[in-house]
Amino acid sequence: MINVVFTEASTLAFGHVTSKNPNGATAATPVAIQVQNLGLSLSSDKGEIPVLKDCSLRIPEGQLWMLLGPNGCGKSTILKAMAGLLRPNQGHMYVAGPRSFVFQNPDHQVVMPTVEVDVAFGLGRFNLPLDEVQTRVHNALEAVGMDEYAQRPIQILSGGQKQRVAIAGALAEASRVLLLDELTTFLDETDQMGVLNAVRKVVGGADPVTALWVTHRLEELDYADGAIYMENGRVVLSGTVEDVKQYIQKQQDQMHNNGGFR
Amino acid sequence: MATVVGCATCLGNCHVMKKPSSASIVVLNSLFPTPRRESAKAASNLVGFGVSMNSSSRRCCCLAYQKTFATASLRFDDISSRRRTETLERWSQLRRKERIRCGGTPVVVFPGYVCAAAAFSESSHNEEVKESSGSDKLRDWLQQNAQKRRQPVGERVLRMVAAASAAPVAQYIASPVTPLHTLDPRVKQAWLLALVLLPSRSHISIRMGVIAILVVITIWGLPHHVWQDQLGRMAILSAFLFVMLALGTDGVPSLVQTRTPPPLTQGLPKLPAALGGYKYVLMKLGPLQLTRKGVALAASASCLSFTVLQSASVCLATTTPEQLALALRWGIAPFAHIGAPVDELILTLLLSLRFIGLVFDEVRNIAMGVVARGIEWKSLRLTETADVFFTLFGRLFKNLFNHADQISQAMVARGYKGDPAKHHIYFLTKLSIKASDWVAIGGLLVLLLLSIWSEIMLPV
Repeated sequence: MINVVFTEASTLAFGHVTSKNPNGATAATPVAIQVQNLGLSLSSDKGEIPVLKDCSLRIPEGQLWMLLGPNGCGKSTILKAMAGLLRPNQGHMYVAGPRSFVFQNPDHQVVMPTVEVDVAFGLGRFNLPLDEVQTRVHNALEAVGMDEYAQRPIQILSGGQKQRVAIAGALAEASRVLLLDELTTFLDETDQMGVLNAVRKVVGGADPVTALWVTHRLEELDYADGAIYMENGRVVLSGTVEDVKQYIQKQQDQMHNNGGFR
Repeated sequence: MATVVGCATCLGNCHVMKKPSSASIVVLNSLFPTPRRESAKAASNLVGFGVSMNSSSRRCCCLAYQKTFATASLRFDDISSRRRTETLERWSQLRRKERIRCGGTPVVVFPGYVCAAAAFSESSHNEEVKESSGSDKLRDWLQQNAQKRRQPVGERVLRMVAAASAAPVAQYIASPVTPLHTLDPRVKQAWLLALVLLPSRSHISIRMGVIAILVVITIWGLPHHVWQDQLGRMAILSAFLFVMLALGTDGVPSLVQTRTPPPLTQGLPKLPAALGGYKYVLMKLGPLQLTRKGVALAASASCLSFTVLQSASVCLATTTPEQLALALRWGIAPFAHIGAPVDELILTLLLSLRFIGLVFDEVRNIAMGVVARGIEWKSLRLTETADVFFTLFGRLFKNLFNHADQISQAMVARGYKGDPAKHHIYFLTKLSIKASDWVAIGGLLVLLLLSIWSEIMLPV
């Protein structure tokens, strides 16, 4: 049965999710993302290839979660399915709206020649008054520390600055959910910290914004409220950062004992 | 530690952290898209750094290495020739090593780049920025040109592309904000149109006047290093065009119609000299001759080239692409009533302007990738070299199509539904005619009247 739900409303069949917060306390928190038994296949010359198999996860509102796993395990695919860019074959899915997807390569995300106009691009569908657009763009750029760059051409920005502009574009849409696909892949340490802090600041802000961040960098886990680990198209672990860190450590020990290969 | 003070490749959009002084190094970004504060910070953390000769200019490349094992590529200029020689000597001792221990910090050598371990101490940094004498510069320039000529063509081309600046020519300069920045983009476009059209029909005095106005506007409106660079290039181009056309117009004998008098006229007395001292041929230089027609054509071509290119450069440097698109939309909006796809045109223009930058980056990345592979160009035959280039072109187009596909996905993810009329582009700027715009319009009218008057009243 296929039951893919994209809704702007926060009330849904899943209601509230009981989750463990970083301090270990259990609290009833509204859910921002919930996926149950999700399956997705992509067609190729060799027929249908299952990419996601029976994936289930749930992320409480107002938290930053990391999604980890080896290359090709389906992290980006599940994120694109959540953004509505890919259509799953089975399962249930709820993603609170409005939601925004930020691509791995900022050159793909940033489509206009100048910073402020690009940040306003996503607002084009809403037909807002110019004053409100200007306020939203200003606030979004300020949130990511790029308000001084509003008039700059995109071409002269660094990778990290472009990535922050891409995030500002998502924030300007007043998104409740940010789907972030390996934002720091192309960035050096300074840019990485800039982007991480920008996202953390937004998630910890007054309005409850939820972020799901796909990453390969373990040090980024320190910024997260929770983490999910995927392997071979399946979600194998979803829980606290410590749980996922221990699991990865175990995997690395096993790999070491097997001579570096699994 | 290296003190990073600023850059000169980004046309004024860089983060100048400190005014250059004799104790500092001016860091320029060579291989990354833009000079960055972050790169500058990374450079300030360096213990040691490598220096390589840039193949396309006399500047040097510095391949920096951070604690995180991420490379940052920077370059600095005004390094003294003595320091350069020392660096190359050190490099010659270390070239066979792929990883060099340098001042306690590992330096990764980019294969294909001449790279040296230059473990400069703090005290030696103070000697970095020194003015080279004219003879040193000339000698270096000659040596580098001789070195370039020894390189195979394929390698030379790719190195030149890989080391090119990421800042496109005539990039918008956000600061400092000059009165030209605040002019209404419609007025700037009207001026641009006039400066493109007027020199082709006007008297030579008007052409010279237009050039003088443009030079004054450029110097007044743009930062020092930008106008120097722009006017220098344009002067060289215009002078080249002038000389070539002036000497070449009547210098090459016509193959179709001979100018030799027919045999019937032979034996006639020589024509008397013009009373007013008129001479068609002004000067002879061996097979070349300077004629009135040549001078007129050369003056027209060089004036036209200068005004068209320089006025476009000034306009682009002081107007954002979105302001230009907005002004263009205002201009073509009436055509929407007869079914012209105005919104599609404007969105396509804006996307194209953004995509041009990506094309430049992609070409540069591919060239860098090939340079990094260290291909033995000397061992390749001409057909094999051509094959490498065809493969690169194939890769380039594949990558660009991939970029386009990803961009379209991103646009969908950002709410674009495929209909430009239903997706409003917020230009975040208002078109309004202010007092300064009226002054500019008045100046344009005066120029038009002068042009018409000169066409009617002044002799050709």
